[in-house]
Amino acid sequence: MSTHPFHAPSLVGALLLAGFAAPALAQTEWHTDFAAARSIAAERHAPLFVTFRCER
Amino acid sequence: MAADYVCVRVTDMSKVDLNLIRFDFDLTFAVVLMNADGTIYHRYGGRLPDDASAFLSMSSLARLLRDTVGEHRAYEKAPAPPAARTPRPAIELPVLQRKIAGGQRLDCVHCHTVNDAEYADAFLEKRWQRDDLYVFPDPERIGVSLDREEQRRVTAVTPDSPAAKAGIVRGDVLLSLGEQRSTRTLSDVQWALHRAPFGANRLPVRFRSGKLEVEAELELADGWKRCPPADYAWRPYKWNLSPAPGFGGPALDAAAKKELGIAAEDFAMKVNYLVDWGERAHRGRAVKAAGLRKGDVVVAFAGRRDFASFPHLHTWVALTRRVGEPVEIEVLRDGKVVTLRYELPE
Repeated sequence: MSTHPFHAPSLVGALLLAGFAAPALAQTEWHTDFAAARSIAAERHAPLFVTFRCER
Repeated sequence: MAADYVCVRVTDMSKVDLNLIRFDFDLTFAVVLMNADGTIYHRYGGRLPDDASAFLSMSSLARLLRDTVGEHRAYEKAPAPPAARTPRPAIELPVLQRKIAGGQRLDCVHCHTVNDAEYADAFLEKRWQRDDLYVFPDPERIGVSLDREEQRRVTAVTPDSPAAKAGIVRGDVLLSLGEQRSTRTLSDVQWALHRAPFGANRLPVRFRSGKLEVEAELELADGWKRCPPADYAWRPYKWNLSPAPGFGGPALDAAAKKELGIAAEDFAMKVNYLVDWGERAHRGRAVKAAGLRKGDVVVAFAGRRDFASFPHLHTWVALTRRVGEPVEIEVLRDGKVVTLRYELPE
């Protein structure tokens, strides 16, 4: 998640994020509040898919 | 596959509980697949030292998401959550709190900031050891290379390495390693190696070889986590290490080297800054006093001409040289070779 000039985000990392806009993933609800998402996952007995990425 | 998950995008580490979620904080992109009870199934996003994106692809991520759903369902039948720990949000790290108290505004806590802050706290509390630098070791440290898609499959084994001695051969599949109960990704393997104590001399491994499932132990030599400077050069933390050269700049491309009469395979970099700001300005002053100027082209440092990049040079200095050690810098200036001498600053 660094934006340091010597540690610029990788191209494929960016492409992966672009991939999240693909139809299958674009229809997915993306939470930004981890605690809230964790509660929902516990209720649904669903696993959590957590991505970490600096978007600045 | 994503529909089977509750999906979260974290873009700021401030609120991330470091007692719950840890991964290689030097990465620019990372994924954690976990249970709401705190059990982490898998980490994804690991890289090679010289290639940030080799192990990132939509297909390998999709494979992981698909395989982990089944793993999650099996876990839910017999959950074994980790012991509850007091939450430790990254923003509460003492170094960051001191910055805030000092009036600094932190708009975003980057992942690598967590490493910086944790190392700084450990250093102040005198529990930091130099070997703590070697986080998330590459699989090469145990002698294996992994497939970029099916990331637990071994594509090569170094002769006489810990993996070779444990009986692992090309084509085998790593099933578990150390603390990592199920290995599916490069990051899982790196996590297992990261969690193994530096002084560990044995690490349990389970792998599938053909139709056989094998349990064995990796025999690890003293200092097994240490990597060559070239392999550490991508990590942002290197900029904090001492000694440091006190200058920096980009490597010259082939055309620029040819124009200056420098062999294509030799190192050459243009100095575009001396470190003349902040608490490390003494580094820039030292090399400025030696006569280095912006615009100089460095072609050799301490007699070496084989650096792959300036970050490599910087890391080589930090990991292998001593503060105060005398070195020579060979530079091209106005078509002439000039040799400068100084002592490496802290």
